[in-house]
Amino acid sequence: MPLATLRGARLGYGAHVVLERVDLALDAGAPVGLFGPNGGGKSTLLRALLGLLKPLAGDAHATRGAGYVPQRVADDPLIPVTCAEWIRAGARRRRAPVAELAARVGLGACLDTSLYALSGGEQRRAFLAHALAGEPAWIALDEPTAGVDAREVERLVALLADLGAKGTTLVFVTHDTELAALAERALWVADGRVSEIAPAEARRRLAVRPR
Amino acid sequence: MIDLASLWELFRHSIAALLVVGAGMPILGVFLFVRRAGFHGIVLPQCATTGLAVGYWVLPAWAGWAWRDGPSLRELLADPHHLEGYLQAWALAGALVGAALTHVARRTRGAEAAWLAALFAASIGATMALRSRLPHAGEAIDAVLGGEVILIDAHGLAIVSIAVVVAAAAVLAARRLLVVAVVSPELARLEGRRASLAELSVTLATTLVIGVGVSIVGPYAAFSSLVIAPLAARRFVRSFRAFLWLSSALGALAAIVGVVLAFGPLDLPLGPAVVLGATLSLAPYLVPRRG
Repeated sequence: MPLATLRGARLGYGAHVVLERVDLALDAGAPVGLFGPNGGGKSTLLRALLGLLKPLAGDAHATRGAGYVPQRVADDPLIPVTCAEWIRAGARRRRAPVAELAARVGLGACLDTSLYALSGGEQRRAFLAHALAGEPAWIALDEPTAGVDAREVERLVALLADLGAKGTTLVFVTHDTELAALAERALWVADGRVSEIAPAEARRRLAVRPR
Repeated sequence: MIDLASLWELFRHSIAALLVVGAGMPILGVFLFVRRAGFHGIVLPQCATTGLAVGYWVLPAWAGWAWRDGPSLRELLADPHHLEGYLQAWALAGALVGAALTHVARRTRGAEAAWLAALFAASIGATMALRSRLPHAGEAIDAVLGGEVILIDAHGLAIVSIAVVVAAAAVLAARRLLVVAVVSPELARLEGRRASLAELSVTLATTLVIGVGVSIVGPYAAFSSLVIAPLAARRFVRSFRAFLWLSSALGALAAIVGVVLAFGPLDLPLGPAVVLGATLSLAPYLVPRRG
């Protein structure tokens, strides 16, 4: 059974239609990349696949238990949260292997650090560990490398490659060619349509297109 | 000099009730604080107080019907223990109406603060208007407003303790989902029904404890515990767990300072004295942070 499906879906917000007639089935296994120009509807498609956005028309089905690393991560220090608390908050079980998960994403030394004191890349990894704590069926990442320095991108890509190799299904939105290299299935989202293209073609388009 | 032993001997139920409220309500205040609903910590106790005033207004008619063969109105008012359950029900009703209206105000988005301020003004106006029209209950309402809690007995202490423990337990049980809802509302939406249920149960528990708490210790102790203690604690903590415990400790400390101020040479009304005690904990904000 697919992890998520969209059938004849019209996606948008109120009167503003972003994508038309989307037919898509997301299967477990191969990493999927959503590519395209800014404002093309990649994040909208990802949110629909997660079940966070109901289609304006057509059908959508999303299995429960997806993990999610949103594009906008913690930037409001109203609530004090340590890295360990944030990872634990993602767990479905009472006793989550917090230290193990933190170590897995390279944050083993930051357990007691405030979530807001982490760099952008470290926050992305903390969100990834939060998602992993929930033992997700698949993980969606919305531009996980945006605003992150080159070293952190390298680290994040290696981490995601490792997760993919160990059987976690990844679906990500990105403009980053390094991360795009992980995709074994590529969807081009532009001009109100979603089309499936070869991953190599997606990387080529990313390399030549302005963002 | 205050003889603390004698004070405890004479007013142990009242002091214990203040400590329970002082230590327990800040845990609910943390919930309001992180949801940017700190003003609810002022509005809801005030609405509960209005509920109490309405209860006193209705009392003559209610007493004539419900206690036809029982104590007279004068006797009922002379011994407030007769009216404990009745007044708690009215305070709770006031808090529930307030919670419903604050929920409506929350949906107005940009105008929420103005609506809450208007609700607070309307509620305090209604309370004072009712108080002026109730010669039989003026003193009793003044005692509630002043937080004069010297008449609390073991039963009152038990009621407020149960309410506070139940509400604090609801917050602690739901804290994981609350953290997610505050840090990333989108992730909370992914959690779906469970996050909404957690939020609803904590909101109801908070309303319950405000309703019961105000009828027993008055609105001022509730204000300070719900609003000031979490604000003071936030400066010193970086984990949510520490936030909960430090808020609770500061709330309890404010209650102790309030008792000392009230029963000491200053002889202040207890409710405002607790607020002043809590306000002292905000002093570190006057010191600029380094770096």
